[in-house]
Amino acid sequence: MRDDNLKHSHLNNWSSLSLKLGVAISLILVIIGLILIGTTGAKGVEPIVPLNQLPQEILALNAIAIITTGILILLLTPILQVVIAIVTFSRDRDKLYLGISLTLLCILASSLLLALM
Amino acid sequence: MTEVSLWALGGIGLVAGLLGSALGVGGGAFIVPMLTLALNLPIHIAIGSSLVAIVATSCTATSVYTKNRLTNLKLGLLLETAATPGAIIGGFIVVLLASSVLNALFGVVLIYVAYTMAVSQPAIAEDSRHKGNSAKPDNTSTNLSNRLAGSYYDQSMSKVVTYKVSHIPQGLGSGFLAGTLSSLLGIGGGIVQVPILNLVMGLPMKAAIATSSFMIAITATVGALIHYYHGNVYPIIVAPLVIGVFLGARAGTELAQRTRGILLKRIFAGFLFITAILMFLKAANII
Repeated sequence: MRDDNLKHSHLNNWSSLSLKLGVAISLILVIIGLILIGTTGAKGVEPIVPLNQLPQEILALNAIAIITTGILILLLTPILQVVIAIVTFSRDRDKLYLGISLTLLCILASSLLLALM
Repeated sequence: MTEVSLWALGGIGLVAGLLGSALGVGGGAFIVPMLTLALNLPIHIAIGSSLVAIVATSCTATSVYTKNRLTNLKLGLLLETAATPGAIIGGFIVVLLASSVLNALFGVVLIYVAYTMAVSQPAIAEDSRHKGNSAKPDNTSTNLSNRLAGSYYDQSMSKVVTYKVSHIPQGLGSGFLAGTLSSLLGIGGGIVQVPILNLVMGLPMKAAIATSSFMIAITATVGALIHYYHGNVYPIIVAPLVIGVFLGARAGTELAQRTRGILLKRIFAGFLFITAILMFLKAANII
């Protein structure tokens, strides 16, 4: 029991830390975007900035682009949990859960690719 | 989008986060009807927005649960292999359904949530359910149930609680249903998951809530990405909602400790019932 807990304590610790970081970074970007909207005035309900235009729009301090980036980072955070699980189970040579996690990552990746199309 | 609307969105998020963390009910049951009834947003956009907010709250909650070793990560990952396809399917069905159908479906879900909250009893002490359960995770066993057994230190009882997991096919089935409903209606799915995890699969309530929270984060992410693809996620709507939900969730934990949970649940159940009626009226184009 103690060995199992120690083995999975890394998974729990990394999972907790990555969740906190992901949410924090996402919230910071969203707040920056809202502040920019507050100072420049809301221009109506605009949809998400296309992915290929995000970098230049962020540099141009486009509030919607910054908020969009924050949203995407938030949505990537749970996916990162699965990646952490894959790394942990791979290191522990737990083939069953490595397979389960890889299957889950494939499903998540397909929905992410669809969203970014 | 006016300044008033941004503050209104933040307020809706704040209350949703407050209620969600204080009552253990996902914010979607509050966010979606408020966005459609109070702000007159199209329900498809309300659902997409709600799912992003749910990702924020569930990630925040899961970070705490995971650190405290309450989450059964292996079980959550396994059940998510059924929940995520359900979420993808729900996300594609939702665009085929008219707003009136979704409004009516949501009304039905609200009736169910209101009922479960109205009849809920104080949590049974973990000890009474899991006395003498000396489950020991055995990673060398080919028995999946044995490998999913878990344990955590319960601070309120000052002891380690151990448990076994059973009825995995039922868990996978409920996971699929929860995933489908999540993307279809913009809810987390915990209202389906938690009872199954606790009453059918054998997890103590704290582990059930923690594991469900972990699963909701992933399921809602898939739903949110599908809605993003459909163009139902508007940053200027999501941003104040997410901020409000995050702040509300932090305050909700304080509220939960200072108020009588049962009274709060009864009041919220009444509110949900009224909201369900309004959703039915909206579905019938009466309001």
